[in-house]
Amino acid sequence: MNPDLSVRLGSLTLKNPIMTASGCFGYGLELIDLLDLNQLGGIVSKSLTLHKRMGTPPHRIFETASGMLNAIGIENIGVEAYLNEKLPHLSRYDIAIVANVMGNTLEEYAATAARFRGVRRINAIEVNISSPNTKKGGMHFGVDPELTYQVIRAVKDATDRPVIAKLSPNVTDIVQIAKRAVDGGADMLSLINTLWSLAIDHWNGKPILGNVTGGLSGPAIKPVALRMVHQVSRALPVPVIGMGGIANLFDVIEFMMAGASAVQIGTANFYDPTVSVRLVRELRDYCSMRKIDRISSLIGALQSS
Amino acid sequence: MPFMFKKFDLLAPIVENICLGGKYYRIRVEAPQIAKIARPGQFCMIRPQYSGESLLRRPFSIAAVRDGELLEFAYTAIGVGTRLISQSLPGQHLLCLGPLGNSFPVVEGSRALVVGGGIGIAPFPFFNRVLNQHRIFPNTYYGARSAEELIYIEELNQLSHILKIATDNGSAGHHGFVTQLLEKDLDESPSDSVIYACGPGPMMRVVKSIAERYGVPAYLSMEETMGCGVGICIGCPIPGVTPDGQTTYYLCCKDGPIFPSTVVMI
Repeated sequence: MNPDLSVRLGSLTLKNPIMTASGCFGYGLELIDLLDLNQLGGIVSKSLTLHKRMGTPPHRIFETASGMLNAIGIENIGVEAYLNEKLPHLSRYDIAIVANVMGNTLEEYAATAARFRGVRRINAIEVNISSPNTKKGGMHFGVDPELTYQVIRAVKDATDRPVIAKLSPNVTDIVQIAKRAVDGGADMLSLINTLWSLAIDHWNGKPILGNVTGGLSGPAIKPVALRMVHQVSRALPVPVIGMGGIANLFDVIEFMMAGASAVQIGTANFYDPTVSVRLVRELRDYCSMRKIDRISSLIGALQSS
Repeated sequence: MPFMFKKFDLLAPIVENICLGGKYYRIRVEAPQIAKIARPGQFCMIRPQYSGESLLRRPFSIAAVRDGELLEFAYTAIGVGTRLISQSLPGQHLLCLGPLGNSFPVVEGSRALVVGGGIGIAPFPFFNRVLNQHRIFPNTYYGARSAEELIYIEELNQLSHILKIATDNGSAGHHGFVTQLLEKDLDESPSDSVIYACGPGPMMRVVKSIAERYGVPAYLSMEETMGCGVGICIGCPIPGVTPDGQTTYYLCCKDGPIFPSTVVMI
């Protein structure tokens, strides 16, 4: 049996639902001597800004129970360097490439997204309105329904690629935010980004992270992510990409049952760098074992109790 | 794109894991693919195969390659992750990703001055052996809190032209800082010297200033909390300067862990 692992995300078709999450897979090229990128459904770039960004001072990482905090501060090489130095190498691979964009202002978001106009190898733009680690932009947009609408509209008008709005869990009503993102023109939604967090060094009474606060990710946040994916996918007619603590095959299945058409692997890449390609293989074996012809039949298959 | 050295992610059987005294441990694992290509100064990201709710791996300098296929690491059990590793038993497995990062450059015909502080001595049994293969017999300066915390003494003695020890409490060697020993020797003769250092922040700051004062090159093995070890999380910044004088963050795992002292700001 050769199960069909392909999934459709609106106008975009992935050969399988396994993607790597923004900020959790570098620019996509760092692990090419360890795994075969061609096995993946897609990769999402690190958040790209109009100009190079330095990011936040150390420490940027802190381990916590079943997860980690990060405050990287969107350090990145800038959109031009990505287009010139990274994308040509990535283009050799037969995978979907998503560019994640961020800015401090509506204009910066739009200008960054506009750089991908006509860039054939970029299959979609994911809009970071959910990073908790910046003084401007990111989550500051994504926790406000009207700002969410405005930034997604600005990006949609600036680009000819499908637009994915990446949502923050740090909100009272994620469905309300998701709706305004779709009103603004989002073709898809990806969720969740990290939970806004704090770690303290009790020895010296100071915050551990250089940025004071950070974003919690990893298996610790999975139940929150699953609930939000379920809520949003039932409320809105656009494809949902699920993420948050996915580390094994059953996590993938559960997210798809909750309503995700595809998933993104984030923190697990850090401690298990070949996890994403292994999940593709395991997903194929799982479908064969359970006699599932098409993986897409799992999407939203959660039964009411 | 820069050439990338091959790396392996192995489930490495533990053959030995012993306490060397206090919080200091030594662990040996079977990892022939990594052992064959590892160079001194490089590190591995390791974790017990089963580690409960502690998910991230820890960066360990390669302390030695034994019999061509065993990797040896020296480490201190001070946090959740390293304590779990210290409780691992022979026959169990470590997840071991490596070899990672860059290595100490061997400068032919130089007088090598190797400076280790605390667990920062870890990469030097391996490096000194490689220096010896290049017919360089280094002066090794080793600082620790007390005599009980000195490790690899015999091996370092064999692999060094001279081994000089300093302890904070005076229980072995010089009563004071290891950098005082380094400075004294440089005072006598700085010519052709190259410094290689790994240790706690304050020691590294002093080494950097000594190198600048005497005008000798120094290579510092830096440390920062790491998420992945391979440059995909951008989580281990080392503040530094670019060749054209701009401030920047280097990544400890990918640009380092070894940096010329002139490019890091510590």
